[in-house]
Amino acid sequence: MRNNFFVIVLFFLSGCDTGNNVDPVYQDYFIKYFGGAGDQRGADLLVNEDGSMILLGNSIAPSGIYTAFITKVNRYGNVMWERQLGDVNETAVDIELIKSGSQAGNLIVATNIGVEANSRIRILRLNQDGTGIDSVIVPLHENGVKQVATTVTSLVNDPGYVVSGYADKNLIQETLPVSDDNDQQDILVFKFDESLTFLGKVLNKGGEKKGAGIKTFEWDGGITDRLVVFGFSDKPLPTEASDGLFELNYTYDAPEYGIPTATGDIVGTPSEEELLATVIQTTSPNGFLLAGTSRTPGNSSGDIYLVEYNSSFEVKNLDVKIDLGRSLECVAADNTPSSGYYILGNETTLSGLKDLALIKVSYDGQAEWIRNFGTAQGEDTSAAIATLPDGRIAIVGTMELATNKKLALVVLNNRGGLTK
Amino acid sequence: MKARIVIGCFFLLTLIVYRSEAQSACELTLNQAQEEFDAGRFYAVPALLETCLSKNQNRGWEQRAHLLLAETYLLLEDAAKAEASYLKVLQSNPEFVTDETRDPIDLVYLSKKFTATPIFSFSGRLGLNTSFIRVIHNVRPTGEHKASEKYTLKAGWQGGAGVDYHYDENWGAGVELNYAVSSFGFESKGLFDESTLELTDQQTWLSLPVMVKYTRSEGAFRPYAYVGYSFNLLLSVKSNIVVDGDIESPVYNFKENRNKLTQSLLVGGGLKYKWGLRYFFADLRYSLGLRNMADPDNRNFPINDPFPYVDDDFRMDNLFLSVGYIHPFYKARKLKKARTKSVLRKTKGGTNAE
Repeated sequence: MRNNFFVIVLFFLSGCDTGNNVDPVYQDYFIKYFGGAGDQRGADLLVNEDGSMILLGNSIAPSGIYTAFITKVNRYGNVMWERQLGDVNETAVDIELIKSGSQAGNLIVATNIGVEANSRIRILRLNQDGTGIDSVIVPLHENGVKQVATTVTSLVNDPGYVVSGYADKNLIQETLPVSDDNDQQDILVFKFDESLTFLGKVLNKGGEKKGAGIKTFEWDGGITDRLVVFGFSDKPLPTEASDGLFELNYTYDAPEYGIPTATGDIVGTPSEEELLATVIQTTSPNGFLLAGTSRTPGNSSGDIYLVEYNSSFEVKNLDVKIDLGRSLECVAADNTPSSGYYILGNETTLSGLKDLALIKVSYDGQAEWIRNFGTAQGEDTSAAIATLPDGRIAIVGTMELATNKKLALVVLNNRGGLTK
Repeated sequence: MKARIVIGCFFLLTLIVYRSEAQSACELTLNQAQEEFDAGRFYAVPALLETCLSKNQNRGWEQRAHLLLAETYLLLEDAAKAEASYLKVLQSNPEFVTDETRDPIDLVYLSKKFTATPIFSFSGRLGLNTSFIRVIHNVRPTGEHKASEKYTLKAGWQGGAGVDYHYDENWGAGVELNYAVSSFGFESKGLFDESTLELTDQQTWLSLPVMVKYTRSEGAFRPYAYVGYSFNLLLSVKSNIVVDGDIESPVYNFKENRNKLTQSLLVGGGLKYKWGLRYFFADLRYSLGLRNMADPDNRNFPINDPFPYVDDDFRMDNLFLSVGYIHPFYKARKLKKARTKSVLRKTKGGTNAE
């Protein structure tokens, strides 16, 4: 009788949920917010091999002063350390892992100092524990003051750093086809060596009303230490049909240290403008995926536009506009662990507000699924995407909460969901 | 209309007077029957009472009449009729017990073959409750644990009905069907350094507790205690979030984010107050939640919502304070195993003493 009683008690108690038998699922898939007082906006994301993540963001205090900040979180999204970057009124834009040289394994960050009209570029190096190593501010150009970074690239073969971005009209006094009055911004790419010594411009192109360098890669084009610069430009195509038609297109150039060469291309559709957002190196096959937005001139959003070159730029594997019937704006992209690409963007909803949009695209440019995230009555925007070593997807963006805007880290399964 | 009311009242009054006169007559008949019994003229007793017994009488009269008949049939050595009469005594008064100092020993012996204790009783209850949250895993919607968080008590209410099976006078088992509205609060202070978040979570439950009870069987106040196991079905959840004291969310339904079927262990006790053949009671019950309330596979990720709240993995305990009413269903019946040993011992003991 007594034994039966204990069996019954054990039976009931065995149904008890405890810390030992309840999986902490929120550690695998989650959304977590970061920040303090005021608004915090996501800028970039870097994933380490151990699954830890570096989040780059910008904070705008209630007083209007803005500062850049960097946060390292473990694979569960819990903060390991965080610190402010640079000075006040400094905006972080990009972070990369230093891939070779004496600083390999540390972090390189690009920021823009000051408001846009007086913007200058700083690059900073940090340890993985968040302590600063050194930094350098790009010297002012004698003709102008506005220089804006979009990305920074850590070089492998010739350790150093390349900053891609744009400068205002003053950097190049242009003649035709753009008069100086219509010149807004020109592609600007420059290089530092491993000791952060400024080596000068890699590429400084004009001829456009509006253009920007988006990303630079090392490229084995048969010439040692060759770089390839991707960007967008509205420089007219050298054809009669496009003569005088300043319409944005994707561009790439493979300059030889400041000397533009004939190796390059302009790609886009004739009636719409193509604004390049990001470029990633692809692995299957080796090459480059250019992702951006194809839109009617004057609109802020449109359709995702993808172009993929093979590694020698001899074959264009993909040149497709993905028409999903939505109002999209491409922000970032990454390779999937299996096949295809993740494209991250913003979708403008019927209310006119933006939500994050994650699209899985096959190698042949077909959208397989799309997921939207964002608060119902808030302006929510994407910033960066990365695939984690275990196959999960990490997204950094900005969510407008009932409190303020916050940097949001969303970790999803490989189907864009929050469950196993 | 007035005329009808007057006629109705007159008719009712007439009926009351008639019944009263009839009862007075039967009271005289019962006294007469008692006199016949005392005089040893036992055969006259049943015939005297027969007419009155065929009419409806009050329970007190019926009890005395059937008791007299039972004693009469015992003396006439008609066991079957004696038992039938005693059974009717218990039907008139289920709590009638013989007294060895007052009643003949053969009647006491007969009474030990019968009982009228209830087999089942019905109860209804109404009361207040509060909920205690026990966190299994802390789940936060922020990457940094700067905010201080705590769960707060909120009041709820419950009502229900139950059926008890009485194994004997002390032990029994019960099953109930309860409807409860329970509630808890959650506060997060220092969220993003300067914000506060307050959640009020209200659930409605249908629960089916099964219990084993022990009750003291004597006295006007009868304490009792029980342990049990409850199956709880979540019917709805209404959650409301307020940020920074004045930014209020819509009412969320987190039902799809919670486990809808949970179980709990129960321990409780109370006091029954005997009121005639019925009881009123006050009951205090602690329900120890066994299951995770949050459904980890359908957690309320605040990914499409501006209010940064996500459920912890948590179990919920409840403290219920109820008052209620118990209606026992008495059933007069002959015992399969008569409890006559003690009477026999006394009878033998008395004989030996003589």
